[in-house]
Amino acid sequence: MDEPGRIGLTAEAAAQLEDLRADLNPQKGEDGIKLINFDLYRLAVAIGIKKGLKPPALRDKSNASYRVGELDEDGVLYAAVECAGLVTAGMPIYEYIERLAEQGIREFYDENLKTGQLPFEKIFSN
Amino acid sequence: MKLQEITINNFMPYKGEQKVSFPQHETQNVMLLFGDNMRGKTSFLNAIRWGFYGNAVGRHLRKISRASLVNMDAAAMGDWSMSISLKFSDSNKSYELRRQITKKAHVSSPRNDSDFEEKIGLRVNGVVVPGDVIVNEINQVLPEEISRFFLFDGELLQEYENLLIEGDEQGEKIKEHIEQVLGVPALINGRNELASLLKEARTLQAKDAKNNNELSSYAERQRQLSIQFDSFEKDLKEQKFQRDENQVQIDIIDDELKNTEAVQKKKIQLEGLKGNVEVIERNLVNLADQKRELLKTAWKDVLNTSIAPILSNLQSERDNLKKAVNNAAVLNNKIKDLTEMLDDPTCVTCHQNIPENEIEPLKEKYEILKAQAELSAVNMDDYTGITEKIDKLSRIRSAEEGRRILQTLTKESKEQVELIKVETKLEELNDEIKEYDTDHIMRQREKRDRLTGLKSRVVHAIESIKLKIEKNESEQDQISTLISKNKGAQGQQSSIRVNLYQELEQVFSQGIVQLRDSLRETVQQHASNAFAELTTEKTYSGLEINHNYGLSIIDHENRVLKERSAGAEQIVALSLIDGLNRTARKSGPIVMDTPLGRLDPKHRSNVLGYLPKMADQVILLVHEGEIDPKKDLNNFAERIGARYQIERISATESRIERVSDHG
Repeated sequence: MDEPGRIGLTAEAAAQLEDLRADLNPQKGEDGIKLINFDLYRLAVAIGIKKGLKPPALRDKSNASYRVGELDEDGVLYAAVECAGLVTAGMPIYEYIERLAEQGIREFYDENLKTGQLPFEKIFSN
Repeated sequence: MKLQEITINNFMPYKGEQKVSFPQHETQNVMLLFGDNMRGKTSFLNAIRWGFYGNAVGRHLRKISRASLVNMDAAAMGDWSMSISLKFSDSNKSYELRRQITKKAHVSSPRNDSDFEEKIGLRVNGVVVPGDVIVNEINQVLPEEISRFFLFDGELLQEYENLLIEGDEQGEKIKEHIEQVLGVPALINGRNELASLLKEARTLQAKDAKNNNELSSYAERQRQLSIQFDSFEKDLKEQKFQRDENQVQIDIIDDELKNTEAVQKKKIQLEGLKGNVEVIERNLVNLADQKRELLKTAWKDVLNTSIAPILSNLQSERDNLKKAVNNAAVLNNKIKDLTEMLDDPTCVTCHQNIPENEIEPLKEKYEILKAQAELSAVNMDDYTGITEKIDKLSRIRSAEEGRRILQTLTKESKEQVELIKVETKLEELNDEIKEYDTDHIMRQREKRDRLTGLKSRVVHAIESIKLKIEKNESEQDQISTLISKNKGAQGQQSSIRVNLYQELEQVFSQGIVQLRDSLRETVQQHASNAFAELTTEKTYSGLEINHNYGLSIIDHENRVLKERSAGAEQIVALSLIDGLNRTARKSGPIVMDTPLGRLDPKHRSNVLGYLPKMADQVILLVHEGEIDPKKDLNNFAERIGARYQIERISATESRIERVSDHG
């Protein structure tokens, strides 16, 4: 099976991720630690893996702007998905990761709209 | 002195003309004026004060402007005139004093005192007193400086506590007033007059001595000392002026600040809260930073729990593969040995051929081992693949980011709740002080601090100059004595005068000390007698006076009582007032506003029983919380000469009504 070299999000989810990041990061003129897109992308994927989700294919064409080698430098996400046996035979693992990210980012965005923050309780409570 | 009648016209809440007659009876000498708060008790006290001295004071002794003295309703109707007439008697003379202010014709809406014209008239025994001597005449009867001892606000009795504090400014002022009441300044003025005469005499003596060869060096020294003395006096005068100027400015600021004490406190609280807001906001920024830092690796924490069983499975799988590899190696060794044996069936020990019947089972064993070896064969790629996966998954390590993020959220919520509380309080405080220029108030506080520092330096300089003057005077005395003893100067008029004035000055100086001692003793005695009647603690042995006229309570073992309650302070202050009235060169009626505010019922009863004895006339301005007309009056009903009530007409108008004896 051929794994894509780049993955990303649909244009809509990519815009949502930008909004989220801007919301969570220090405001203009303020100092402090800044989140990058990868941080939220990986978190969305990890949550999907943990839940064993089977997200549908992306509604729109992916805006594949992240290099897989950069996003998953050590192949940890790949290994986690592979070992968890979440991918049906023949499906590229990074495509599945992309679906998880798309779904996760959309959920983050909706929750942030409703409550003003990420669903931390839901994410971190066992 | 006895007050007979006051006629108030348009003064503060008293619109139109209102007359009050004071009791003249020897024993029924108490007048009660009842009035609720805000109705005009203090205004009545001020009406008397203004009538006598043209001066009315508000809380904290602030002077009230003329425009504020005119009744608001009358002023609104265009009537800007106000007057007070007082009838009183003293030393068998009857006095009629009338003071009036009217808006100047060209002023439409008066604001400043200068927008009014003041007229004052006095008749003594019906004879008009010329305008330029009226003030002097009033001061002969009741000097303004001593008015604090007969016209006073009971709430301010606590200021007499300052007499106990060494070097206290207010205490110094009160002491000065006390000495005026007691007549000490007469002797002080006498001594100062003599000091001035002595100075002149010394100058003449030095002039005479200059012509004498033996004494010319003394004369020259005396001349220099005299020049130095003048310079010191000049410096002293300047420094005192500077000190008084500073004090005036400090007093003005104090008056202003006293009115804004609550605002100042709120402003300080506000600044503190602003500091709190900054701390909370900083905490929130730090927490947000911590949260973001944790979020960067939180994905590993999320994966960690779901990956753990997979990792464990992979590790067991790898262990099994390892075992299989080892097993295959053992089998292969065995197969190798058997192959060698079957290829050359000779015994390795005896070198004889192995019989055919023994070879057959070996062949069977060989076949079995071959089959087992085939089954145990391990694909090394699988092993490597599993190892790679284990390596990767082992990198998913949790630093408990999730738990720590949730803790951060809890802290954030607490900080946010605190922030809301503080901001609400800030808003309230801002609302409360928005009408005040708090920056100005704070600047005034700083200015006061600077002035106090400056004053302290000036006071130090004054002390230093006084010491120099003392030394100079002593040297001048010494030289004068040396000149006087010289044969050539003996019998000279200038030397005789110097000796005479020197001796007289000493007599006056000692006289002042003796007079003060004697007056203090008398005040202490009278105050102690009053205190014995006023206090409810009968074991106290009396009061002890200090050189400032401050009084301390002495207990049954002759120890000074260190702490005393607000009620006790009031009792001691009343005792001092009584002691001063009985020792003073002048005495008059006592007009007291809210005298019983801080007293418990027993002390109140004692005070009510004692007040009628404190003066020939006692006028009490009280509210019904202080004296209950139904209960308290029975204690001294026989001493009440007149009862009045301030009736509310409107928020800006009150009327004084006489209450019938049975009312």
